[in-house]
Amino acid sequence: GDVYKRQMLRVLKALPRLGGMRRFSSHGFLARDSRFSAVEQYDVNYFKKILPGSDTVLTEALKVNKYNEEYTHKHNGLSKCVLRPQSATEISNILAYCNQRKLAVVPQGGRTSLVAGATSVFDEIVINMERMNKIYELSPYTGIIKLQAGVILEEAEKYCNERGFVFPLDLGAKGSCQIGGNLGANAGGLHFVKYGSLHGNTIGLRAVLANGQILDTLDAHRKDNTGYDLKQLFIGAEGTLGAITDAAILCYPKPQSVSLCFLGVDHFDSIKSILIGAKKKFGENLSAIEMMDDQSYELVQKHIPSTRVPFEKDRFPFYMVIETHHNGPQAESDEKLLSFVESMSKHIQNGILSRDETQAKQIWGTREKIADAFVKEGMTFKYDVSLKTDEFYELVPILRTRVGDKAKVGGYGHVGDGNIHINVTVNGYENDTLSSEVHKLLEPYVLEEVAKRKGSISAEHGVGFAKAQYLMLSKSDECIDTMLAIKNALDPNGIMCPYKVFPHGRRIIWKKIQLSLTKLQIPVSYTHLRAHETLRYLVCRLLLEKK
Amino acid sequence: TQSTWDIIQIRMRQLKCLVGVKHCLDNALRVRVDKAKGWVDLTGCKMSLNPYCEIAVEEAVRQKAAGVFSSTTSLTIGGPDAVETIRTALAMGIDQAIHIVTNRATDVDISSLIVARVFKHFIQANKFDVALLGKIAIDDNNEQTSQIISGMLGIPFATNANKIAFEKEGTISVCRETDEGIEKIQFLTTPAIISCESRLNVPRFVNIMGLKRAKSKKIETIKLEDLPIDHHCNYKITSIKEHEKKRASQRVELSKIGELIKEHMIQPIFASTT
Repeated sequence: GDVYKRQMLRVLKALPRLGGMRRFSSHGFLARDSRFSAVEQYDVNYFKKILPGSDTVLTEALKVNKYNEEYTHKHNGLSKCVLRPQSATEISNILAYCNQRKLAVVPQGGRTSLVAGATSVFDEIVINMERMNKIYELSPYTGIIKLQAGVILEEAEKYCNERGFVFPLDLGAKGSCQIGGNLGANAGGLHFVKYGSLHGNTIGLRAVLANGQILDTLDAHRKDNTGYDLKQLFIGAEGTLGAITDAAILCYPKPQSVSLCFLGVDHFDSIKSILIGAKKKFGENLSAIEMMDDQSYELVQKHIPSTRVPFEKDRFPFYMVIETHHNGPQAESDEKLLSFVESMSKHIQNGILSRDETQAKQIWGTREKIADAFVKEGMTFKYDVSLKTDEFYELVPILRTRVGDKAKVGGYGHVGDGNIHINVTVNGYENDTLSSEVHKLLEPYVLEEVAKRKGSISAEHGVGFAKAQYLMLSKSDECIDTMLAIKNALDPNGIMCPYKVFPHGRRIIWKKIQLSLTKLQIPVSYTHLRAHETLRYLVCRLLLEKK
Repeated sequence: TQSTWDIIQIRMRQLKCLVGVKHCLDNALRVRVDKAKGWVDLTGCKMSLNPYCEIAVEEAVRQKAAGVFSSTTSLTIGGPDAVETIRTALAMGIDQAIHIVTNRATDVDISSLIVARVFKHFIQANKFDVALLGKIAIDDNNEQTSQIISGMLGIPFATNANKIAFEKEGTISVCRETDEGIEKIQFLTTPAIISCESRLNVPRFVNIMGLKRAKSKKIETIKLEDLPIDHHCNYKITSIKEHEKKRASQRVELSKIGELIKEHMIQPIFASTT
């Protein structure tokens, strides 16, 4: 069975007419879109001409492999050509050429995307921004920092901290993720509850469209109501509308003192009361409020020995991390947090307060390394969803009963923003049958449950490639049609990040057709149904007649 | 169950412990040297408990829980803002604290000799049996306070303690970390001084209940000038500057070594005197 499948796949990959086919556990078979050309030697020569310098055009397998590695190792790319430009003009030249030649491209940052949005699906050209890592300036009056899209988040944070400012974004992956990728995915982060979304904190942007035109709104002011706010299109577009090359982000003044505490809590209702109390007492001084359950805590203790977990022996069903800012001496800040915790003492079982930077790093490490701990335990299925606070933790016990002994289910996340990360992990990476069993139990059940509760199927990770086909569960058909209209207007040849964000593949069309035909009760041939997949530019007469 | 006689025996054997606690720059922060002034500027920097003192505090609290110590007292020399660090020590489990208040900078103006005199005064006055100190303070890096105290009082001391065990007979055995291996020392008499290494224990996080209890614990505040000791520093630090960047290493031919030595003015150890 397996051997035959592998042989079939090899044959399908070799078929030059189709240009290759890949099999994904979540998408089934996906064929390479034949409207894109393949990369030829004269293309590589042209790129070498417009990108002067060494190591700007990579084609050897050894060098290119690094840029094809995906974070969860489930959707590794097959790109054969990687470009590393150094300025917006170089990217403009690249995209103008690719648009004319119909070569698909993927702008790439730190490859920390959890939905395979950063790597190629077939042989798209990868445009990596890592050489564009200059920080231009930080204005001390407005706090606006101008930087290139390849700056690593941790470097930007250090730059701001040295000058008395705080970058409004903070993620666990800050050591490798780049600003361009953060903007493309509209990353939320740990301090979202205080600073809000990147949509609000981005003041200016420079992006390159698919046809090579540069849209420059980098030198913008806080207030500028002249025409449509084009930069908002690119933030969250995940590279499908254009490549972001520079950004101007608003930074906030650094608080004088920061207090951090780690609490052990018995029941999820206590977390809800603490959340209301904290928002009331601290207001905008509440910079982070996170929760995790015992399963996540146990895995961090087991797999991440470099992080010292706060409670060595005591265990509670839930844990919370609360961080507050204060413009005053450290003693006052600690006192305020302490008095809040004492006022909530009937909801809290135990708690610790961080007294120095090392302890603060250990407490944050316990929260930030949960994702890594799950990946170390085994094959992980991640669901990053937004739900109402009342129903926040509901899905985790439901999934635990559904999955049973086959896998471990943990829930953790930003309870202040209503965003929970549900991770389901199978022990080890070798047991393929168990993994696929668990996968079938989970998808599409989890996402349909979220859609039932009118939640978002992807709160901050984005849709990328892994969740593209579930977009309809969170957005209506009219919304998706309007998005497609914008995409076709800005990228008519569809070269920017193909196969991503928008649903594709036979499963979606099949389901849509099934739904409409069951309503209409029209018998129709299989040939007619197959024609829907290939002749997409035509309109089905049956659906038109019956509206 | 223990009979009254056993309890009396245990209480008679229990020791009084003095713990050194220093309020200094947070371990994780990088020191900034002001090149123009030639001085370290600590205003606005986060200060916290010296990590080696934290280890001493943790050891004292553990031995108190094990019944070896009857009471633990912490001793801090610092400004008014050192109260935060003293509260951390009290929250970890120390019973009471003594705070010697001074406006002088504890990293440059208070020498180890002054600190040793203060410790000597309290060890003699309050009759402490064991003094637990951190082996080194991370701001001035003097690493000599415990040695000076023992010299002044003529009492046994052990530095770089890796493990401390209090025997029933009243002796204290300490394992010291040295370059050649672990050295075991036994103290036959008290008072004694032990300075703690990083591998002695892992200090606990400060519990919120502990912080609440710490508010009711006693902190005795005394001015440094009021103590009957000589508090004048017998040296003055004129300036502080950062290390020069290390020169890149270079390969040298054997024949050219003589020139290099002359160039960099290194006195060869084995130069002949004839």
